Amino acid sequence: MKSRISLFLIYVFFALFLFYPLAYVFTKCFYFEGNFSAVFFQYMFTNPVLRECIINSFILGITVTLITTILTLPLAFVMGRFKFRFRGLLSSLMLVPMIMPPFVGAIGMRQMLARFGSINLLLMKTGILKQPVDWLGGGGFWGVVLMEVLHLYPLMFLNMSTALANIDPSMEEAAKNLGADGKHIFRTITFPLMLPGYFAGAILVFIWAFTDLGTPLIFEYTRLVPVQIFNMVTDIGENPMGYALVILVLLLTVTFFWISKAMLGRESYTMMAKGQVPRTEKELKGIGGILFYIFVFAVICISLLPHISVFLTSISGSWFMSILPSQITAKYYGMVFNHPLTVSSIRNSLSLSAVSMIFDILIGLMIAYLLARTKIKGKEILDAIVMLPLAIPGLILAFGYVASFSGGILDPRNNPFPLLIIAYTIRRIPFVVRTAYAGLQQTSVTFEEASQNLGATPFYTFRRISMPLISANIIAGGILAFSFAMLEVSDSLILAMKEQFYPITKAIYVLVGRIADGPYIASAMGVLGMILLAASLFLSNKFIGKRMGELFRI
Amino acid sequence: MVSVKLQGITKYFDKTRAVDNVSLEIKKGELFFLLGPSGCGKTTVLRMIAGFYTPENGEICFDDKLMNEVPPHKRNTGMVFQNYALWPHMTVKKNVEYGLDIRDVSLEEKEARTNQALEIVRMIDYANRKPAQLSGGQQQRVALARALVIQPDLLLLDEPLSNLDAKLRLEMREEIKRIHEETKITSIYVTHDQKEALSMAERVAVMNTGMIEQTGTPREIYENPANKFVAGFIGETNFIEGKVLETNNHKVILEIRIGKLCSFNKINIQIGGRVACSIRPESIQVLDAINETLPNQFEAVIEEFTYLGDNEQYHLRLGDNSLIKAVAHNPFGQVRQKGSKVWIYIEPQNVILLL
Repeated sequence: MKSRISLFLIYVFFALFLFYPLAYVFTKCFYFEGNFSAVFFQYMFTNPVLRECIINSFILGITVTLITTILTLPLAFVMGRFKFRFRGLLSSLMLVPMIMPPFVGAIGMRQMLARFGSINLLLMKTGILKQPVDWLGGGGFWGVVLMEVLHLYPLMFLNMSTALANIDPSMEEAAKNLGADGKHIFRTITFPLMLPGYFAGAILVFIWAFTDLGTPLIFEYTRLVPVQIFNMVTDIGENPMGYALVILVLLLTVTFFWISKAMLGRESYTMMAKGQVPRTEKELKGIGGILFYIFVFAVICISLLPHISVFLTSISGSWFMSILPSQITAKYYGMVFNHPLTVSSIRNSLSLSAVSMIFDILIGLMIAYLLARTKIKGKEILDAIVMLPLAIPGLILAFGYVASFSGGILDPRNNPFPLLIIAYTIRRIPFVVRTAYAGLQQTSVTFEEASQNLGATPFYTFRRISMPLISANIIAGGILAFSFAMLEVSDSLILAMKEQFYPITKAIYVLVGRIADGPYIASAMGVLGMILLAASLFLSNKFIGKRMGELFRI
Repeated sequence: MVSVKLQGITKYFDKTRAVDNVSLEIKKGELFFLLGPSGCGKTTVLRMIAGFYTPENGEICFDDKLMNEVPPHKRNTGMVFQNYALWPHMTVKKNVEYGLDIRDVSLEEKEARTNQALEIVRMIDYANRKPAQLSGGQQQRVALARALVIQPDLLLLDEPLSNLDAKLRLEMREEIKRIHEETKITSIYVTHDQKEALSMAERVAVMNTGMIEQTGTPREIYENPANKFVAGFIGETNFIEGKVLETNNHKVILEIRIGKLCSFNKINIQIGGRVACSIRPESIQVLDAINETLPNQFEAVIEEFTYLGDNEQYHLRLGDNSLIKAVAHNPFGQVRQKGSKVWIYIEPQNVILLL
């Protein structure tokens, strides 16, 4: 009975803040003067500017997905199947790029990749180049690709590693037993079996690259769908094309979401180790080994470039026409804590993220409990709805909020805090549900039955038995929800419209646009954010261990 | 303490009928056993009594109170789970106290009752350990203390000894029997181990495929099994098919493939009807020569035998080429050979007739 009430409340919450805004955008897109009309949707493909943006976004998404695949496949395979020194260290270093929103890295990389930036100067000094190269050619397209690849390849790596680890070793052993050699096994057994997991990762990478707003804004590469949508928020009342673009992205992401959901099937929740024989791992030796070390090392170094560059920018007193800053200063860190904009944004972000984390834990626990411990009908539907926010870009959700809640009590133009909290909450709920669900799955039901048998009500049982037993999972999920909310980009950029309400990311974005010391303070803030996210990923990794990868699967 | 009455309980899982029209009456203070092979529905019955499942049909009554709709936490039953389900994040003491926390007893009483329960199971010295630091047998005792401390109306034990090694299992049998005698709590004990049931139970219900095959004291179900399943499940037995030749007040004469078999056990059957006889190996005597004064003697050849010290087990081939098992107790000094000819004698009161 009680579970039905909470289920109802959960559905109401998602209906109000996930489906209603999207449905509103949908009607705005397809109803013109009271009649159904696809005219805006068609216009999107006939208008040369919009068509170019759509094509660019697709090319960007596909390019990023392809490059991350090529980069990650050998990494994941060798890491998963061979034994070698520093494997643990290397695979955690692999996750480092995730600790920074790509648009922050872009601030530093702009400096590095500029016509007379560090890279060109270094290459010219060593004599490799005679003329400076335009790295950001194509109006910044390749800069965006680079940042997206460097930011998203860990996501692909996690997905592929999990897919590889989920393959029962006996599958490969059976092939070996029948006389197949390593290459043949990879082609006929390993690769086909990991495909569903790979596609799930690839789809996620594609969607994230397709919908990233911050990076192209920093590189001022405006001919992309997300940037167009962002610009259309300002005249949301007059220009219907924003709705059409949002619907396009939405259709794309939802379709992909269902495809990958169908491919992963029911496997998506198997966080527990299956009753498998342990895998025998080969030693990595010889030239192949050395080449692999070089490869991994190069990938990690390049992927750390944005972090290094942001750090250098944040401490540079002056940095012009030299490889490294010629003067070093800590004053921008001081300014972070004195500048009124940064101080209020830090305070805003901290409280918004904390509140949304609490909501995430409350709602997430409730959902996880319903999924894992009750016999409610329509669990598949609940599960799919809860996981949907993982695929729905923040950009789309925020646009929907501005469109549908304008003029009401939640109008973000007056005070965006309620909607920011709700957006953060909805977007990160999958993390908490996943971690808590996994915890409940691994905890025997008899612990709870024993408690009820001794006279405890279900709620008392949950408080004293289930909660403490899965506390590690709850903490991990909560930390992730908190830190990702702190560094949420697109919904913060869109929803926070007045300076007093800016969260950290919006403050960084606005600072970059200010000429004098803006980018430096922004970089200093970026470094602080990086440290926060790194610490929280490290912490949650401690709590839930190897299962981190599962969190980022649809 | 309560008596328990089940009336026509039926439980479905999806479309399979896990428990089929089960009726039972368990008296106050009784140590009652549910015995059956795995998958027979005995644990399901126990979990319905605890309230974790609700039956689709039938009534569950404690004393005369209908319990069907009462949630598990309001039934005041103490359950010992097969895997013990000791909470790993609490010490032994906290585990045992838990039920008292809910019951709002005073601090002194809580302390006293917890200690008493731990003393009964002889675990007082381990009060501050975590369950992971205990052996299987110790965990078992704590689980028992946790169930006992709330002074339940009914103690439910779900295969409590199945995770222990053979020696510990024997010890714990004695221990549980002793505790039951001390506390006299109505107890329902689920097991698939017939020796556990025979040695501990006051009464036993034998279950198979969701149904109760027979209810009775251990002696009744062993000596007078109601059907072939009970006879075959409890102990070892030989089945011989036969046709009724004649019947009177005292005995039944059957025609079997190797001659005539006399039984002193009555059964309600017409002359000419077919019956199965259950003959326990230990009620077959192996003789070197025929004894003219006794009935039920047949010629046999030793096919295989195993010497076990205190007894000797035979596989004997009868005249119709069928095999029969026999056990000779205390086979001191008697030496028999494989392939040698012997006579078997079956006492008429040990020929049990089953429909």
